Amino acid sequence: MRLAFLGAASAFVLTLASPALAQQPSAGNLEKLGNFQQTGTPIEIPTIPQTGPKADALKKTLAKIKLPRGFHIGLYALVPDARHMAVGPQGIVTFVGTRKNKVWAVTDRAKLRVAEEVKEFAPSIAFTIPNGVCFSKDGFLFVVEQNRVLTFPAAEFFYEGPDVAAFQVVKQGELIPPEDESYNHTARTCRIGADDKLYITLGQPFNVPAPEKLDGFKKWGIGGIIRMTREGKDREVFAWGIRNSVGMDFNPKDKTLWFTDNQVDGMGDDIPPGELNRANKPGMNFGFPYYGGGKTRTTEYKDQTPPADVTFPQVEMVAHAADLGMTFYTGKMFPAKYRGGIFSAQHGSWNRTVPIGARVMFTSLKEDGTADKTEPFAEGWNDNGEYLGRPVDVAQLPDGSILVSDDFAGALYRIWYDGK
Amino acid sequence: MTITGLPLPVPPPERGRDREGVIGHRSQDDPHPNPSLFKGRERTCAPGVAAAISLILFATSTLAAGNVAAGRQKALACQTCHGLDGLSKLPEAPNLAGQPEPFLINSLNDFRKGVRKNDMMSLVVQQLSDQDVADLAAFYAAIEVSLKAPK
Repeated sequence: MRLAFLGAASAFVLTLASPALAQQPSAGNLEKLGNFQQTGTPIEIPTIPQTGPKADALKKTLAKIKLPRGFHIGLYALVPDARHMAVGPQGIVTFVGTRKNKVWAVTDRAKLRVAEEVKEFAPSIAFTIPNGVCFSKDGFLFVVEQNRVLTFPAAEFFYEGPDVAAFQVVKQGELIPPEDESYNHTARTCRIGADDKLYITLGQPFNVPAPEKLDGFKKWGIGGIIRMTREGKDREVFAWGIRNSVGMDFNPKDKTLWFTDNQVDGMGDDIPPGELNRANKPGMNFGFPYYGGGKTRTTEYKDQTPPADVTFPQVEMVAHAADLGMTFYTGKMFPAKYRGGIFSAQHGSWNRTVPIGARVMFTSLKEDGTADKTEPFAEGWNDNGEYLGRPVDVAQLPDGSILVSDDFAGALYRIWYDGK
Repeated sequence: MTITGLPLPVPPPERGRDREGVIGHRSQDDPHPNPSLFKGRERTCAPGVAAAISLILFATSTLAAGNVAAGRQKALACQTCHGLDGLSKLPEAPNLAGQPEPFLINSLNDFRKGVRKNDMMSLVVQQLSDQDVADLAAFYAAIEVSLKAPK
């Protein structure tokens, strides 16, 4: 195996370890963009080549992916470090977050159901872990970083140039206390609710937090889901007792908020289970850290009495599979069985002795809106324990097909149905 | 050996005995008897010489010898952060490809002893035996790297 290191190790470390330094050039830019001024960023934005050996290799991998009869999967775009996705309401652009410092704009110009253009979004802004992306119905893109929230009005219109109208919803350092910033569990996700509020998942940074951390975390909603107005006002903790949720979506039918949660490590390969949860009102407690996943008590809190009002998950997923992004299916392309159900991605375990996950799951709902059955929908990226890809998020395109992002391969895949 | 579900080589009795003696109280002053020979074995020696050195090491070592193939299999539990190619997959994880074998062994053992602490590493080393450490170190050290300095 021959590998080329393109940069000096010291430069590499400096770049990655100094988000504060990387932030500085953008501080003034953000203000300018808020005033619709130009920043002087070069007008040509480099694009990611969409053909070549890597694309060919991924297509070979996709040929091994198993799907129910009549479904097909194809390479939609090469997108480095692709994480969560937000499909523009006009259907023009899909925005893709990363756990690094870029947001990507992915465009299918010719409507060939393959994106021929992938380029950096808002290159005049320095992002720090801009994992969470979501749209309001009126076309405002929200980008939730490690410790800041930005909004981009008419992102689908402005994205062609380097200077994009941008405003701060939550200023740098005000999403969580800066001293609680961690590299761990710091990828946020977001949604706009039926109440037109911005909902954000905030993972807590520990495997299991120490008791003295809990009061502060609870106040901030760290280890929970918070909500606020689209202008960043009236912030409140919507749900609590969550370890690290990296995916949520509202059921359009009954407006309940469903979310995945990643559970405690170090308790063995087969416990505790992963979770798919349902919040049907504000103020619910989902049991962490007293419960480490499902009804499994954590070792650290086993002698303490858990709160009486804990809500247990709707679905217990296989342990350590890392359930991340999810979406309700509202399209008409797929058969009736899938309509109104949930597609969710399992990233794949990181430390299980025999790796598990790396697939897309489907959960159907009962008439009363609770979970019915959960089954694998797309699998084959876990090749006898070696990952060929790691699905992160699922999003629906206007035609009713779905996109799956993969931050290991750096790609988006499209899954469609033709019954053949 | 506490990793389950993986095909693991059964160590010969004399190595097994050595391992028993080593668990939990290997000190920094007691590294491999000849780290430079150990390193050379993987890279630059002619095959015959390498085999001879391996034999000597096998006979005299008080530590388990690492097995590259077994290490690759065990590295499935490391791949999401460090990669099966030994290149970091997370901003906070280091490259392991081509790292000196003794360094890898010491680092893992420091985590096992609690001398070094990290949320993720301190957790995963709990399930490693001395043989696992030796195999993982042998595998990551054996990945060849080539370098290109910036202009």
